[in-house]
Amino acid sequence: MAAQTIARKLEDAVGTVVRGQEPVVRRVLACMISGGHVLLEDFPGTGKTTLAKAIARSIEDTKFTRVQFTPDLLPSDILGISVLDPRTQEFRFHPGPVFTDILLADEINRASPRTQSALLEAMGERQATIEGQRHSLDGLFFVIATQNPVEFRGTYPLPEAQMDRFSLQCSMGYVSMAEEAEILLDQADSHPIDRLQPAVTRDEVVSLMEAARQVRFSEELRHYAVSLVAATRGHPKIQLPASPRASLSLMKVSQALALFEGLDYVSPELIQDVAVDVIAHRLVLAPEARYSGNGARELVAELIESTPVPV
Amino acid sequence: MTGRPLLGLMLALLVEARHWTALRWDFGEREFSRAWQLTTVAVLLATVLIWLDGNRYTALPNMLTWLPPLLVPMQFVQGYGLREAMPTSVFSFLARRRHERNLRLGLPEEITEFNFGNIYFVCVLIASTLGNNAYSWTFLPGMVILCGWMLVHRNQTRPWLLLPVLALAGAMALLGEKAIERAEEWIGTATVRGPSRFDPKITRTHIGWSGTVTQSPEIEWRLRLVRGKTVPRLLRKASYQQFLGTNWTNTRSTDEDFQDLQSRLVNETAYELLQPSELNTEFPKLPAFELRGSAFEESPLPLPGDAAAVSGFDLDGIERDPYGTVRVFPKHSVINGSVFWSGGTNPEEAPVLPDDLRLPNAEVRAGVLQEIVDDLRLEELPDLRSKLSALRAWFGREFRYSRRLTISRGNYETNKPTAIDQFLTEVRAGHCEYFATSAALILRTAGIPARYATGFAVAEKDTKRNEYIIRGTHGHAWCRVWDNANLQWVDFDATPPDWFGNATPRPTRAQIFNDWLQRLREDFFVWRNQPGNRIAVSLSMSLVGAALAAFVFFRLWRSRRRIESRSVVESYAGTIVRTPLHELEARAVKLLGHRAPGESFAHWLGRLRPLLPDDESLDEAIQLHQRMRFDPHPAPDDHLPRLRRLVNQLDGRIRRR
Repeated sequence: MAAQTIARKLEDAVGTVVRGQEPVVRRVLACMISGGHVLLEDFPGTGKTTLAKAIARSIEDTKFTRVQFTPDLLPSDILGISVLDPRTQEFRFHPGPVFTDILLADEINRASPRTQSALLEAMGERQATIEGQRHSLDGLFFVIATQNPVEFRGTYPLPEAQMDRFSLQCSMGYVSMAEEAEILLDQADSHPIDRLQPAVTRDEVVSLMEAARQVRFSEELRHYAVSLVAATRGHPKIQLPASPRASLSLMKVSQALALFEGLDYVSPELIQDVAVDVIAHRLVLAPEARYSGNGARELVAELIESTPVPV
Repeated sequence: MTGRPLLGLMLALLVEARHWTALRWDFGEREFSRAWQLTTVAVLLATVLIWLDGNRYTALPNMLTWLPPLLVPMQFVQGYGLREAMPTSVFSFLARRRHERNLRLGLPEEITEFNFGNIYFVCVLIASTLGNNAYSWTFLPGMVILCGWMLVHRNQTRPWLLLPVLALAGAMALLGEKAIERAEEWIGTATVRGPSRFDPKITRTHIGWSGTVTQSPEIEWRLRLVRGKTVPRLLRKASYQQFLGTNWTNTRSTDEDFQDLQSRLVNETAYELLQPSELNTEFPKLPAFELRGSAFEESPLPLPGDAAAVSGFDLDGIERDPYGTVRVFPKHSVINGSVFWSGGTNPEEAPVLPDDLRLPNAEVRAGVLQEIVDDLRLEELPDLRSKLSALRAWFGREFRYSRRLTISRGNYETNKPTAIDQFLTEVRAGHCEYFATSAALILRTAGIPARYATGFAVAEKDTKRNEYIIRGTHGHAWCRVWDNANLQWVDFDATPPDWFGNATPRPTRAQIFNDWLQRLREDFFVWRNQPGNRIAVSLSMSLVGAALAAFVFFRLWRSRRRIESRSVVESYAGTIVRTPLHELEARAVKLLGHRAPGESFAHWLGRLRPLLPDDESLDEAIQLHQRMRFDPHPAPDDHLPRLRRLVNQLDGRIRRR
């Protein structure tokens, strides 16, 4: 099956459950296919868990785990722990929820920095070091982390360096009233997620990830992607600009997005589409810009507007 | 700012140079506030200077004209700063404090920002329309063309659509200009030439008008005794010869009748005023007083009826007409000088007969005047002095002064008596214009040449400052009577002497404060205009200004930076594939306007879709273009001819629109 067809089937399957969120669904899936992780900044009840579950259900034989982050969560609660087996008198490793395909890390900013960094190592290196032993994670390891944008008390905001581990940050927001009414109708007797049948196999998804890497990316657009990221450097309103990891994510996510668009090459519009989601969360604004009302997303949007795009 | 081209050019250069230079400053809220404080100080200073310098009716337009140079600090921090907009809290101390507190406590805050450039642009427009050259015929069309060019340059879309809008704007501007011109004319005639409307050819009286006469209580002139025992009781602005029922007029007071007094210069600063024309070099020994007040172009100088010379006024010109009106062209808005008087002759010519004996036909027909002359036996009295005292006694005995007028104008058809006849026979109450007019007409009936004079009565004395004050309420009318024995004109005031107390209300607190301000202004002005002080004032002002400018410049120079540091983005140096769709760009620009640098070509052309409904070719062309342009794999051979065909088709459709 062609990669574009797999992508379409996956997107359609998730779309039957997550209503009215097509652009976000497509971006989150593209992020997964590109091998990255996503941070959803959203209010409670907007469908983050449903999205994660729906993605897991749409793919045959995938494991889905959900961890609710709390201040007393320990690294071992995520990574796993070795327990002494009294029969064999040996330590046996009990893998934690991180050994999965799709992990929903709910309210990640509520856990202590130590626990956060345990997860972040897993995200960055696709491996977990537990008691000096390295355990590599599965090929399809995808983290959907969430944080609540309005509550600040009792939280440990993610350090800038760790924000950089997320390929993209986006928010689902509330759906329109008509769509919300449809969601009510959908869930009148049973939740649509229970009816959701796997649309693609795990191997197909792995092949999709391989296909995304093969999507053609011209030298000129490579230069454009780099110049968008470079535009954040030396900007008077930005204290910490975006790193080369941002350019890399921008390339990978736009390549994956091309598959969902039915293309086998990347066009400048795709880069522009995801640039705000990929770049904005990595920036630290200068103090006066922070209080001037405009956030990092608006700033990146301005940079996209002012950076010459190949025609 | 029209009228000061050099300053305007320098400002324009300063404001526009930001487009050519990479010099920038990292101006934050603190600097915005500093600039606003500097602007406020400059505006206050300018207000004081404008108030000192001129009259208050032109102060507002004057102020608006000076706004662009005053607002330059704000425009500078906006134009040369790195921030696109400034918060509104810049303008308010309290809002700034609140903002600082919120920052300190980390409270969320809604911040409204705006770009000052737009405000500055509006200020420049207003200032240029109020400038001196705004009435030349080139100004308005030039303005419309400039604005039109700017709009076309900004939007680029369909310039012909702008034509009707511009035409409408032009027409409205024309109307507005006419209205402003009218308003200015009105203000000009009503106020600028003098607080009370003055015309040496005609004076419009309140005769035949009912209501209460009101006059401004403001100080117009101040007198200080220099030599002699007393100051004159009456200061005349003008005399009038012919009575036309309500108005007094002069036939020989046109601009040609005014005689330049340059040839009557004595001792370099003194102008001799007396008629006939032999120069009287004796005047330095005559009684004299100092006169100080505001004056404008062609202001009449209030002088005693037997003024001999004026001296020490800083004037561009001084003229006198045959009726003795002396008008001046002052160098500054406040003038100060000495007046010599009591010389025995007058600045005006001898009476012209029969003009100075002429009576209105209506009065002759009614015969009221003749009856009075007969009753008082004026013609039988031996000399002028006894005739005048008889008349004065009669007015004092039988008449009452009143500023509340009830007499309505007579009318030939209804045979109603004229206003003067009603005053003389029935009402017997009125204000100075009635008394002066009646007295002049009665004296003429008795065969004595008489004229109607307007000016001021000198009666209020400020003993603390040892000066006499002339206010608008001291405006007065009386007669000039020809004394045939001494061959000179003498003042004759028929109004009962209690009029002055009647006409002068107790000054209010506001008026006392106003007087103080006015004195301050005039005295400062007179002090400043003395030659030595003038240089000292301008030198010290320039020094302070230069020091301030140097300080600001030094601070700015130290904190400058270049915007190159921002542009870490290099342009792409590799090969770029061109497709036939690129050729469509020039045509699409006319419909869509220019593409922003960050807007993708496909997205930009996509805006043509609503203009080309049911056309699949645009989408297909964009798709082929994207493929050829951004796919590193070579496109199949049939793509190029297909795209060319599609582009030709689209070109035709766009052209037909």
